Amino acid sequence: MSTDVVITGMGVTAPTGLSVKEYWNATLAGTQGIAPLQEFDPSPYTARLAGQITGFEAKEHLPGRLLPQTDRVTRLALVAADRALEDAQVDIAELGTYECGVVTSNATGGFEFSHREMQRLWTQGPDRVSVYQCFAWFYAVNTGQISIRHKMRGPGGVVVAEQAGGLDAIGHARRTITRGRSRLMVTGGVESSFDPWGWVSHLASGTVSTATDPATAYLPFDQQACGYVPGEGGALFVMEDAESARGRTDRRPYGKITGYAATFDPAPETQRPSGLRRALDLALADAGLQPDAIDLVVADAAGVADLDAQEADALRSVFGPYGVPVCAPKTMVGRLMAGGGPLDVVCALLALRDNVIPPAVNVTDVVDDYQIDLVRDNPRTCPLSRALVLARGAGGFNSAVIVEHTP
Amino acid sequence: MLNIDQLLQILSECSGDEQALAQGDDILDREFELLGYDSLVLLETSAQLKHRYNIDIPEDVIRDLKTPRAVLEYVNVPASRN
Repeated sequence: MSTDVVITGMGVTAPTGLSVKEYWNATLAGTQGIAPLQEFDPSPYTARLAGQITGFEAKEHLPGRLLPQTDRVTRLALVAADRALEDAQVDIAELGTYECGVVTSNATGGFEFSHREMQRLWTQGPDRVSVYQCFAWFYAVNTGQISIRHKMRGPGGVVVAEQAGGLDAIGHARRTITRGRSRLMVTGGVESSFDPWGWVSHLASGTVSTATDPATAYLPFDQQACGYVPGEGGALFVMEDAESARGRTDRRPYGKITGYAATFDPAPETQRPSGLRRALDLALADAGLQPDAIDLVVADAAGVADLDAQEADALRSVFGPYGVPVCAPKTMVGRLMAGGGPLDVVCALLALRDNVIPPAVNVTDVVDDYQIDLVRDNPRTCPLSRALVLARGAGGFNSAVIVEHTP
Repeated sequence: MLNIDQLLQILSECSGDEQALAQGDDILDREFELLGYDSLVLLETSAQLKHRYNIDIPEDVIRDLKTPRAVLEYVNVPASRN
């Protein structure tokens, strides 16, 4: 693609931090963000641990008018978008309201809000259901509310692909800019669905860890891998046409998005290999890079043995045994559905900025046959220019994004 | 009978805008649209009027009531409905 696309602003809401700085410091320090569920008694459920955001008071960040009509997930998304736009120091009106758009990903919608309204429906009757239910439940609502709040009337969209969707949103936002349809996009993904109804929906995946000790619950690539821990939050970015960004600010962008690809797995009964390797190859081709140009991989890190083995296979076949440092920051926060990929992109961009790879926590016994160089225990300092971020979603989604440092 | 304070209380809760309560009588003739209350706030308000005071304002009617005074008149002065 001929148009360079850069990231000029970031906003984070994560179990280990409600700002980019807080998240990054916690990530480098290997902070444990996984804990027993706090909002309700998890003891009747098979799984009890989650990566939760604590101490988030929506009314401290958002006008009162937005509260009756928003679920927690949308409040988190609105705050992340505010922070990203603030960080980019952008004036939407000056750029043009139709030149700025929003593409986000979300996989579960506004569960807590819907749960409350469904209870009203069945206990008090249909006329007691809030009118705001008509959109507050919906996975498209984050895009809509961000667009309304910031008067971004350009291209708008939502991508749903379970854990892979956040990277797909980034890919789609980039496409929107390179095709000349917008100058600036807010993109990424935020997820939050930890009320009891949302929680059982997570459990339906069948691969949520039933461990009760946060230190052993989610161990991707480990001999003891036993499933994953769901997390909440995510990240939103301000993405811009590089030339347009240079025209309005002297600040250096966090980095460029130079490659993206998405593939879909073949039906399981066909026995054909997963599409992950193909996503990786296609993203490299999109960026015009050879594998040896990649300095860091932020892994999907499923935490389920056969999925870990597939990812390790793909990495080994492209980069060679122990061919590239692999980073798994999800071990600190869990898997954030649509928020996971974007939060990993934040991690990748900051790793490139600071030339340091954060450690995976809790993983002590990496499967030898995987032959991957998983960074553990302590941050690793080394020169970094380009990173590959992978995300896989239940149902067969594989997505890959390549980010490059902007000198 | 419905008074302005009761109406403002409901509008405030339905919209999440606490400032509405502070405006008192000044608000009577200001249009909902200019006050920032959209059609959803008014639908929610009509539902709450029904629950709390058993006041029935059909959806297609409340759409055409442009100000708090118009709502109060509709409710309190049945003759005004034609």
